[in-house]
Amino acid sequence: MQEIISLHQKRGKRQRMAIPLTLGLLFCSAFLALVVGAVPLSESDLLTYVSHGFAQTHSSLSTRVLFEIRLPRTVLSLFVGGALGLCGAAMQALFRNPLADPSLIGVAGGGALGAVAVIVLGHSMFPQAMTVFGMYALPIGAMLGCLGVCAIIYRLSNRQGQFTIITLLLSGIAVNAIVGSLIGILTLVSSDSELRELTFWTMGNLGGNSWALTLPVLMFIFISLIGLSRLAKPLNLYLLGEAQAQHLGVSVSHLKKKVFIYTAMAVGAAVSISGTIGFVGFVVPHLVRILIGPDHRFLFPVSMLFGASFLTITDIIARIVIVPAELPIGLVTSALGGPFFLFVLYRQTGRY
Amino acid sequence: MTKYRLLFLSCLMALNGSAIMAIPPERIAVAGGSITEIIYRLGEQDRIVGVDSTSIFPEEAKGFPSLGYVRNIAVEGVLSLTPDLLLGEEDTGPIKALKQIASVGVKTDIIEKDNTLLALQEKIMRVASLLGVEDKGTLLLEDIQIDLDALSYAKQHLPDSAKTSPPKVLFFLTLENGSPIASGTGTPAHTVVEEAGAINLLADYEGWIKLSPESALALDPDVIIVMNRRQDVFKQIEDLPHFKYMKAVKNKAVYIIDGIYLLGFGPRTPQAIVELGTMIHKDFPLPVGYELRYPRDDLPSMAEL
Repeated sequence: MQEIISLHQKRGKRQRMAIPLTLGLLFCSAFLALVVGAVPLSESDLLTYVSHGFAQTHSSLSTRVLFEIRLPRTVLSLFVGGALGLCGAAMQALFRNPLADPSLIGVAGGGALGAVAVIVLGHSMFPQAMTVFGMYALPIGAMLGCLGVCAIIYRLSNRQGQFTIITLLLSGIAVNAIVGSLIGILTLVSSDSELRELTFWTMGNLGGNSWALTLPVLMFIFISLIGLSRLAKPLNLYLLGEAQAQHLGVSVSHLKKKVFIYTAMAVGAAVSISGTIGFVGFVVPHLVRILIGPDHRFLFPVSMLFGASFLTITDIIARIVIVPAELPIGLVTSALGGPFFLFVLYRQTGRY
Repeated sequence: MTKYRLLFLSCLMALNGSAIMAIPPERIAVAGGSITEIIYRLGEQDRIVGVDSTSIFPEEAKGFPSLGYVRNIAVEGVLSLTPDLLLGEEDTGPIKALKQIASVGVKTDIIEKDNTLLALQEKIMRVASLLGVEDKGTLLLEDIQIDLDALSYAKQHLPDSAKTSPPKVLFFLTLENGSPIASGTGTPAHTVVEEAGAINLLADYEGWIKLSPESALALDPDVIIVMNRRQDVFKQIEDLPHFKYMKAVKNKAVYIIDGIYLLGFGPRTPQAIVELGTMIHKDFPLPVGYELRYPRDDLPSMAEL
């Protein structure tokens, strides 16, 4: 009993500290992301820009780089990282299993299928559509893939109003397997250049996105993040078990559907523009849970903030390590996050 | 200094959009091995500020800052070199990165990829005129013409047997994992094989094809060409059951050739095709006095081992 109380106190302190700390980290990483990069920014340019009350047009190279390249990229990495962190936490709550991550509901696989289909079949089968949509074709394809596969999984696990986790899990695994084989078939018929393109897509990349591409994605992510954060309390009750939550006044099947839909939307939007970035959605919530405990009122915002900072920092690393070339971010998240996570895990298991 | 020069240039561009064409670029970022090679042959390599990872010939080109793989270049990485021209081949990408680079005011010029000898000549002239050195471009074209003439001479004077039933060739990108990847139409390998006066056995198929071992055996080529990924290719080929019974392997008509040299569609490719012709045909008549002018990788043929 004594131990539980002391654990509770320790957690309480950490929980209170966690939000301001991660918020600080977020600001630091965002600032770093704006000032660090392959193109050196001249401070004088920025100062004149700010001192003129942001009225000056973007004339010099450095302000252009800042506002048209680095700023959208930083905002995107913050949102995508936040979405992955929060959705990971939400998925682990939904499945009541720490091994869950958003790919279980088919988001990543569906996005990959959509993107690969656009890359491989786009120009040969729908040349007109490709010219109409232009640079939006690939994100739209990926988004449609995400939504399509998620909808199938949702439909399969939602029969007669019963939305059970076990059918969700099983249909998710089966549909993901089918999607994997479809991607394999498309890969097989792809040309050499298409193969290269889709390989890079699956490694993830936040670069090259202008405001026009970024803004719609930000909107989707923003809506779902707001929606998900409001589910923290019912999810806390849901952790007690479905029946218990029901008795406590939570509409369990609604809750599950909401978590599913918001996650599909946020991660789908993220995947559509940045490719598949593994690992963040899985490990960030774990890390946060180890540090501050499973209370979703804290776990959710901290996972989101920490995910955002984590992805932003890895993106900085990805773009400066082999200047003037760039690493795919998916490689960096796993290569850096993996050992870090193992270290924390090792420390924690050693203590208890 | 360079930053101010760029600023000056971009101001000029804003003032007078058409006048910029008259100022040849001084800082060029190159994405595409053949373009790098052409710039070197034009003697304008001092203007290069960065190259992609496919620019591996000549050896010195590897010394430039690397933009990364041609299909995956980084926006800020390119801009950090303050180029006034990004010159790339068709596969330069991703496209959204290209758009962003252009939107910041860097001129981008993408040359369409077309694996024919005619397109190679056009590419050389285009690069030369972009750099404002048309006269050097003409000289380079004349140099290449020597190989093209030798090629057409050889094809005219081939023995009748080779003309009526040309050797049947399979061109392999790799033989890894027992399932070879071979060239169909639309690949540079297809062009060079046909230009060398032979038949590509996979001419009915498009692109690079992952061939099943049994169908490779059934095609039974007279000659096999492999890109030089590994040095122990001959041993590999003799060990693979579906290869060792082929006519080509039994006759030891298996050759390794440098991919960039033959398939890069740079200034050396016409000579490489001539050389390929001497591999494929037992007798490949060349005009008197013709010699291979570019150093070739001294790779042994299977017969010499």
